[in-house]
Amino acid sequence: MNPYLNQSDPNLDEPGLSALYRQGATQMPPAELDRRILDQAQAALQPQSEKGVTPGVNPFARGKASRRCLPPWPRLWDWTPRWKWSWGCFGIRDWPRRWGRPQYWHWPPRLPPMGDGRWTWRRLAIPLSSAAGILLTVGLVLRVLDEQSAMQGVTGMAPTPLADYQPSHPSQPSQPSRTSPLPPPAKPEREVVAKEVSEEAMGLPAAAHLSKAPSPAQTPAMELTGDGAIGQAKAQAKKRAENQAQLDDPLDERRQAMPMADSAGDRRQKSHITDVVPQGFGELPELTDESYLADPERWIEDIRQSWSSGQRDEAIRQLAAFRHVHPQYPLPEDLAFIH
Amino acid sequence: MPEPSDEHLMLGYRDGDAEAFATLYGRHRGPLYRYLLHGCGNSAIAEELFQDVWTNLIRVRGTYRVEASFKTWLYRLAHNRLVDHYRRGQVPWVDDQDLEVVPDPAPSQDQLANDADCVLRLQLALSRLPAVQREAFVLREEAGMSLEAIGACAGVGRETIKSRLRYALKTLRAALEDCL
Repeated sequence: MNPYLNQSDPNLDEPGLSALYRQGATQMPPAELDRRILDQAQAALQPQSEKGVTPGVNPFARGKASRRCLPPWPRLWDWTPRWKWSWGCFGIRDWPRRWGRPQYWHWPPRLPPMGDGRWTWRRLAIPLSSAAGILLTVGLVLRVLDEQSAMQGVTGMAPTPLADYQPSHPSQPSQPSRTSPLPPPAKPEREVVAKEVSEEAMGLPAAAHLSKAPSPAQTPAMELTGDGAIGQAKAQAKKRAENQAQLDDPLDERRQAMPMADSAGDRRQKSHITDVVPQGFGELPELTDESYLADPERWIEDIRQSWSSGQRDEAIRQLAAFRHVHPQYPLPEDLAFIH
Repeated sequence: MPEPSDEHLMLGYRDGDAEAFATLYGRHRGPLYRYLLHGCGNSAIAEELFQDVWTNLIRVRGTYRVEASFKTWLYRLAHNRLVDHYRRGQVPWVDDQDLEVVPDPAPSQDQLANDADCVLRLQLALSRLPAVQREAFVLREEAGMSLEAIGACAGVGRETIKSRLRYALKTLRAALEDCL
């Protein structure tokens, strides 16, 4: 009687069947198979050195054995499927053995076979890391190229070189900008901004290219230095320095120095104003009004009226001129968004 | 001096005692072989599976822990190998859904006349049982395992094994009624 049988359930207890089964249970494995399995079990207990295998680090070892290879030395069995025959470390610690025993490492490293879950991710490690490296490199190169093209686009929109610069009316005497007709503003605003940016980068005044009619103070300098780019640049720089010095002066002093009547001094002062105000905005008669210099609030109010009356282009130009003349003046909130 | 248990022998073999394996092998070679033979129905295949099971045991000896009976662990390896054999051969392993299927009827009178021996009739009736019922019966008879241990081997619960065993015994009783 089988002692493990559950005696509590009589339906599961059949002594007659058990006896019959044991009578017929005489099949046994062949002796050859027994000998083979016992030999296999015996061979499994032998150390690897006796089986003709080079001793190495057990890749599945834990604890001290797994720490035998100290970084940065990799384990050879990480790179070769024949880890059983390879040494555990490829480092100084194995240096003597390296000279006395054959090497089993090679380049490129052999990929371990598929099917074993331990090696699957290692098989994918090299392709995935390569793909990631390529993607990063391509992305970096594209970004650099994009930035370079953007810089070239800004510098490519620069105005004509200074060597080719010719005033539109070289022989015309200095006139207030309201009386000097300017060429139609056909260039878009973005191009103008790009020009300003490029010229500011070159150290030139931003409004230099806008004043097609040279001022009286500018013309002699250009004549002295000729039409060369260096002479023009020097003249522009000189003019800019003068304008800056004038802007730094208190407005009251300039107001007191300016005559009230429309005389030659007034015309000279107007020409001075046109030097201060960019010539490109000179088509607006209000810009020549000296009261704008003394009363920026009134100028702001006029700009606001122009904007509210629908003359937005004029308002934009006036505001640009205002910013140029009064760069430190805080703009009201309703005009701050106008560009 | 009492004989060492299977677990002690397996631990001894894990630690390098080859004699312990020989003793362990001698204890379980017959029952395990017959379990596999009943499972596949072919002696050649049974020998191959038998060797595979012991080879697997030798290979994973380092991971053996005394968490359950050695017998349960051994027959669990054998069960997995048997199921793997059926999967590779595209032979369906009968699952629990076949429990309600009524097995083949008792052999005809002509067959009974030819198989006069009750042992042969038992072998014939056993071979016609569903695989899961036959496995439960053979594990109980050969290994003497409890219902819980059989369930642990087959990966099912105790009540499932109990149901399978009840169906198997009912069929075998009906087939060998005149022998019992």
